[in-house]
Amino acid sequence: MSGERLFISLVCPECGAELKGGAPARVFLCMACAKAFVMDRFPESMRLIVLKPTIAPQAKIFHVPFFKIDGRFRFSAPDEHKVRAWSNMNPLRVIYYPAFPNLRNLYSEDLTFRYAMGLDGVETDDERKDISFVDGTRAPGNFDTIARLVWLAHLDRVADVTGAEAEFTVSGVDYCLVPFERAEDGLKELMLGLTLKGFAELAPNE
Amino acid sequence: MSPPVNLNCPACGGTLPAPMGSRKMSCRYCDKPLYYKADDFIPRFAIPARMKAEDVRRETEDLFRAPLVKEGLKESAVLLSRRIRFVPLYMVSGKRGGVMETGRERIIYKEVHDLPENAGPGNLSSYRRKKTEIVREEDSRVVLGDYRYVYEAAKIQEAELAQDRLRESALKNLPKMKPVVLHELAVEGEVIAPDIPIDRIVEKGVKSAKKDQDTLEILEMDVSIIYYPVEELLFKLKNNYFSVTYDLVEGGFLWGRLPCQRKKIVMLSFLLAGMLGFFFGKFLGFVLGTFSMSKIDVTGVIYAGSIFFMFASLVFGGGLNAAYLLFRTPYVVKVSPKGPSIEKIGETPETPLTPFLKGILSLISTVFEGALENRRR
Repeated sequence: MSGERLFISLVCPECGAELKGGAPARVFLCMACAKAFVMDRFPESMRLIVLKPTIAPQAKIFHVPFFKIDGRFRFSAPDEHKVRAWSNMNPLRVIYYPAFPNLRNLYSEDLTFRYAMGLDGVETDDERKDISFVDGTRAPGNFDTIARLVWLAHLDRVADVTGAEAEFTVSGVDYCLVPFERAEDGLKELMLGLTLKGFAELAPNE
Repeated sequence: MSPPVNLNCPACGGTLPAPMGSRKMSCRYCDKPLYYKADDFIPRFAIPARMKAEDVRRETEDLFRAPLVKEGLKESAVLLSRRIRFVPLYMVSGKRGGVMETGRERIIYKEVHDLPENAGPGNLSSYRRKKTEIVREEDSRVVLGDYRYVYEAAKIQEAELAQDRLRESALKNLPKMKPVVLHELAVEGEVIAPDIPIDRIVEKGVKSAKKDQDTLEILEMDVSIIYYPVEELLFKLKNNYFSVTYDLVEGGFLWGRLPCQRKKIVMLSFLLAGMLGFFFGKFLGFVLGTFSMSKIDVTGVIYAGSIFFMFASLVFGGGLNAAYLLFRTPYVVKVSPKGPSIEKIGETPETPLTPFLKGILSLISTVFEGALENRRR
């Protein structure tokens, strides 16, 4: 029968294994091939990375999804003083942008900034066996805009970005699962050891 | 004409209906997991009920004992039915971002020489003053994050006041919501269909997410429907039926109507009319005593009698009339999240005392006008 196919088989187009994801998921995972499929753009896929915790877990680990955006940022502005101030800042490394609903705006809880400044030389867990993970329910298409805005927010902390011209060229996007555990008053992420208050609902049900 | 679409299972070829809950489903023929990717699909979620039958019973008994509600309702009303209903709400969520031009106000101090007109030669520095000035500077704020708004999806006449409460409660309980399949939900209770056009909601959502700033861009937008569980309790009292609707997530009553306590209202009207009559009579006594009664106030008896007459007329005329009106006007107790309140549900009838009252009022106004006329002269 002709016409656009509205049903997609939730199996990996490469290995035939069943793709993993819950009812609200927009991103499904093939653990065997280490691939993540954003279903709106199926069968396009991105690399699946599972990070190894750098902090010893005290409770059962689960993984929270982020889009790991690599690329190059360029900026210019008519004000030379501002350009000089921005050039002296520590550059952001890789942008980790939440693939889950993230309504927190507090800087102290903004993992994107914390990871962009402090997450370096991380090890990946290549076994990926029986891991528990939170569904990726966000699937934005414009990673260049997201990364550009993260950078502009970073620059804005030193000098106002009014009039700045900025551009981010994406060189790659991976789907990254970051290890977390439940803490007494919220969640604890196991890469930098940050405790996030009020995110408890994110943890998958036991 | 829209392009043709294929609704067949890619594994077995069986034709499937579009899902009504979550995009992820299983083929009804071969049980293979499938994902439905149509753009116009609206995911549906339900917030689980938290309140138990015991909570509903206890709170209903408390409501029946409320001061405005008819006495003895708990004993005399018969519970006819209990029905779970699912009220639909739209949730608009996604990501937004951009550079918001905010502007910033800053206070600066300027040095000025404030010379008086007749200032002679001398030291100018003695006239030096510091003047404050507010300047507006360019400033911006980078916004990047998620937004989430909940709007009503169906117009339910009685639920008007409760819609805000439902929206707030839905937002608070979003983490608990679960994807649902409509026909499974329909087994549990009546699923109310959304009747507010989705385009209007999207427009509202875009406006709220952009905060009226053209520089903010919507990076992602999803619309979904959340079903909120409520329970409707239908009662019968003599030949009258009334119902109240209970919030099964947060507890408390959302909307409904109950027979009201009439005796207390009538007594209250007597009291109020009596007080009003007393003060009004006092006022008239003062006015008439000053401008016209002074001539006949020889013993004081006539003066006191006049006041008594006016007072009595107002109490019995106004009080009886008000009580009659309150007794005959159809009132009910309206139940809302703010609590029970009195509501008029029909027209106020004619009263036999009205012509008598009108006569008194006209007499008072004539006397009052006469008094004013005397004063003018």
